[in-house]
Amino acid sequence: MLRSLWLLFLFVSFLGLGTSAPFVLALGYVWVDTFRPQDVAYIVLNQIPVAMIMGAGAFGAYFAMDRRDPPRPNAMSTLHVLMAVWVTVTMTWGVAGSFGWEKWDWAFKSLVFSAFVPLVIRSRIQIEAFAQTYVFSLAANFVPFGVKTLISGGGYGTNLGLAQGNSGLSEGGLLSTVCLMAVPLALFLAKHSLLMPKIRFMPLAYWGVAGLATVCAVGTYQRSALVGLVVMAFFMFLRSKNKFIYGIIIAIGAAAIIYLMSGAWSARISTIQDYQNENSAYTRILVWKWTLEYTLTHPLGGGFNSYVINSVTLPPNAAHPGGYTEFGRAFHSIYFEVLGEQGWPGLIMFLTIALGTMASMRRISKKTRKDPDLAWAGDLADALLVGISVFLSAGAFVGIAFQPMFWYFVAMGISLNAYIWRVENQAAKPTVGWRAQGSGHPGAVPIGGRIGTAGAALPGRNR
Amino acid sequence: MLDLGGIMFSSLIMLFVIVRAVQLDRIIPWFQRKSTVTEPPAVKGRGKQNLRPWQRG
Repeated sequence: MLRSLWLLFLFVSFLGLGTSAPFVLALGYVWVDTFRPQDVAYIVLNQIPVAMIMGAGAFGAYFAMDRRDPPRPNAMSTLHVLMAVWVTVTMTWGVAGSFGWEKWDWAFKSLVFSAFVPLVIRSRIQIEAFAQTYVFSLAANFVPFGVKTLISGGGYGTNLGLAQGNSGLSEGGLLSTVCLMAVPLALFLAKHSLLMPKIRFMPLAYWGVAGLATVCAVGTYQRSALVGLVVMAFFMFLRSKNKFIYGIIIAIGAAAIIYLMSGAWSARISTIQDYQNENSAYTRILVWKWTLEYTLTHPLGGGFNSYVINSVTLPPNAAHPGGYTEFGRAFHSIYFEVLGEQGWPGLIMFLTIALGTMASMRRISKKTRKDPDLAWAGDLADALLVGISVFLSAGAFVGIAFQPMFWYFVAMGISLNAYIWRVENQAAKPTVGWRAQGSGHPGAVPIGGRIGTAGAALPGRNR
Repeated sequence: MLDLGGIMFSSLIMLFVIVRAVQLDRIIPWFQRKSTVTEPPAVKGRGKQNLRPWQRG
């Protein structure tokens, strides 16, 4: 009861603060979408459409009160919107009927909301607040999960988190991937947070959060988590400035995982090598083969959840001497999920968005490396780059292409890119015309041509 | 108990983050290279005691 009242208070706080600062409502939507208070509350929040209220509030407040300094449309943001359109178009020939529309309902919202994020998240504080919201909305799940794993050792299919059932964050593949994606963000916040008070042990607290996220990922016993962990360690090593110390930390972490995790974990992970005799892994390979054959005849895909029409024949085993056929097996891979559902155009768009965002983050990281004032942007770009790399590698074995977490990373990348562009261009070019009214920029040229004084009415504020 | 601890931990930080974000977003200029809050320069002494004779009026 007290838990529900507390969560209701937090929900109302988001709405209340959102009336004076509209970006808070967008953060509220991320919180509702990731933490899902409606699933853990016993009163009020479990009976009202919390996501719809927060989402409508975020869009409404932005269009009514906050349409200033919109970012320039670029290839990534355009493709993001096109993806939302394309997933709707493919539903017109969707093969899964109402089951497909069920997935379209949440996937479309994820795409549209994350395409909206760069409009409302513009300043450094807003970008950081978005990253904090993402990490700590997930923390409600992975902190207890991580602590329980440290106590009990975790286990495959053992749900130690907040969410119940076998969907969303209660599904080990998704939970482990998004936890690993949160690790570089938490480490970025440890170094560059402006929102948290500058006290001595604050970075250690963030390192603790990153550690629990890693323990949670390992504790799910997901094989994809191991792949993600290796990729995360590799990319963070590549991006780190002090490779020697970082190498030692990675070596200690790897040794701790190997020696502390139980034999059951090692047995589970070692099935990666034995994919032909391991039913789950071998079925995936057959489903991927089916998907490639399906898209040769249906290059535009079969709409959401098109896997329901597949059938794969497994070779004979002790239980089935004559072999057997399985129907409607899920894709279990972001690449084959997008290919089977959205066809080749969808896969090309998806890969262009993912790889384009990575290239853009790489460019920002390189550009800002020697500028101490923008070092935070370079480190955030590195964190997003590592997060997306984890998603693209661990996601090769889990069907989570349309889960909002990846699209939030893309949205943060677009916001960061737009921020850097505006910082550079506002410094280079004077703001002219009506946009200069109220601008605090020293180079602003308001109507009439007097330079640099128009911002006096709004001290410390660009617009 | 651990679940409750996780919820409290995450939601308290969330509350702090949004309140602080609203405050700082009003203070810190949006698109400038150095995004730090600059304190006004400290003033030594009070009244006219520390002023130069010609500044005391």
